[in-house]
Amino acid sequence: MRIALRELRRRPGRFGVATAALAVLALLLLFLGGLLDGLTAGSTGAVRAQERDGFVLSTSARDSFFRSRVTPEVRARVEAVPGVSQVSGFGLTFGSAKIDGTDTDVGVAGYETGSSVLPSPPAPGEAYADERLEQAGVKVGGSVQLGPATPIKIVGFVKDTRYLQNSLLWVNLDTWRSTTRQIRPESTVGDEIVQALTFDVARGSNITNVTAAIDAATGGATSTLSSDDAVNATPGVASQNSVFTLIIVTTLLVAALVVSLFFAFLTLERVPIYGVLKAIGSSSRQLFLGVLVQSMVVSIIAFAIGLAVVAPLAISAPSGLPFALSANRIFITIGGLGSAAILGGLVSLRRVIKIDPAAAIGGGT
Amino acid sequence: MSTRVAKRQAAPKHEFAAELIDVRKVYGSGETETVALDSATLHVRSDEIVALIGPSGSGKTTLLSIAGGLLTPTSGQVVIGGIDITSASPKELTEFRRTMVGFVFQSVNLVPFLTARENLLVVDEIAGRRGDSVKRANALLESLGLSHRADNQPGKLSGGERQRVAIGRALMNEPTLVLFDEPTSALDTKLGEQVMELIHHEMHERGTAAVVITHDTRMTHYADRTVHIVDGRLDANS
Repeated sequence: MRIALRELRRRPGRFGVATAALAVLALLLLFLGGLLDGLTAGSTGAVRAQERDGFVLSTSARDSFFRSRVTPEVRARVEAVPGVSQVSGFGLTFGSAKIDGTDTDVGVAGYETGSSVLPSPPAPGEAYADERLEQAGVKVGGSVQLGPATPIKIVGFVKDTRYLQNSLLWVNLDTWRSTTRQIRPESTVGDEIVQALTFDVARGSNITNVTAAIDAATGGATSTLSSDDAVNATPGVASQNSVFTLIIVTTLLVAALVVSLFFAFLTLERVPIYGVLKAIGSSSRQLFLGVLVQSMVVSIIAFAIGLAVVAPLAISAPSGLPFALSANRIFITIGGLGSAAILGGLVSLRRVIKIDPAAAIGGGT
Repeated sequence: MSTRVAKRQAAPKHEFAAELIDVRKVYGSGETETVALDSATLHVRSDEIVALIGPSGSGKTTLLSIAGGLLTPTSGQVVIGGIDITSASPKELTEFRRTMVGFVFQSVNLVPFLTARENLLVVDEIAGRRGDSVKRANALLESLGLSHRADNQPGKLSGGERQRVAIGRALMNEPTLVLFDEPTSALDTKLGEQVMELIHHEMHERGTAAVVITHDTRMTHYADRTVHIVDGRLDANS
């Protein structure tokens, strides 16, 4: 293993081509992953920001907040289900507002319970705005007017609360209902009616059992989702995830192919010296570990180069670019690239095992 | 067998470093069968240098490979340093090569990106030996007249210096038997004689046995005894 590390240190040029190719792939993996995370974050912030264990929608809504209606009667039945705690109402309406002279898509989200992201609902006519609106020119103390609706006064900003790439104004349920009536009359809901309920699961209860119990208690009038299921049910998120995941897995396979071809070539070139090392007592395991160490080090250096290029983009990404580079994504990428390095290195294993130490000495006669 | 190898350190020196008794090696089978060694018997005393001479294809390399645990015989018995390796497993033979024998190959084959000293130390690294490795490597390099070249990589050494480093590598594990595969074939006569002189000196000084394959009859006087091999058969009384 020390021999392998010495070779890396003393002959870095030998590994330059493979490192460069893997660095490009690492950059691509981080960029694609960052885009996926950015898109997902921009689509699902409103669900995640509430930090609830589950969401109750009407069955006919087919998991869409916009189509869903939950009546006070249904709410009462949900509240009575054992294991359910702190039931709250939620509603969401999209509209358009002129901000700094530009028409901007803005949503209004009505809620009842705060979280670590959302403060308790503001007073009627007031809103907490998503921070993206601050970048668009909205200020605390100023107001935002959606269409013909009564202007809503901004009293603060909240982070990562967007839904379907639209920035939201977080208001209390009465303000949401009145604004909806003014900008989307066809979506108007009556007093006490909400689009969805949010709830927590009481200690000692299980989310799977509770969601089933809620739907049973409402006689099938509701479709109850865990928080994770609600995130995945967000329109476009599942297909977006599968497409990006497919591209990322394909890129990892290409990385494994690059490693395998490069080290297969190197191993072929090293057959005579490996023969000598085996003759003087080296085992196939020791030699193969050397190959693995080199493939891992090359991959780590390539990853570091890719990260060094992508990180500034994450810091200074324009607000229109849905890009988010999380620590989780960095770990996933380095894990994926490491696995590709091991997989690629494994291709050389058979050749290393097959090297005959007897070949090191003369012609075998 | 590894236990026996471990016990070697404390065991008294055997009369013979190598005993090959009635060794036969056959390659292939049926119509393609080739007999490389036939009833070969060779005894090498523990401080003896034996030159092995024979034409191409006579079985010299096969004999050296069997003595070094690189090949196993089809039949017969092979005992090196008192250890019977006739039917040792590949894993046991690997351990045997780490501790009991040293090799000097025809084409030298030093690790090109390691310095002369590191090429010696690699033997201990492979075997997982720690402790006085650097001290022993430096002493060997000094003894071989290579102290000033210890930090040079093979590319910066002359052919003779590379061969001397290879000899140092073969002695690094303090072997019972060193096997030389035509160590002078890539050198001119003068350098070849210097290398053979060195082999003669180092082996005798350490009391280590050696088998040297050579085509060059001018080099055989550096050996204590010369054994001829033709068509897989050794001289009588070998």
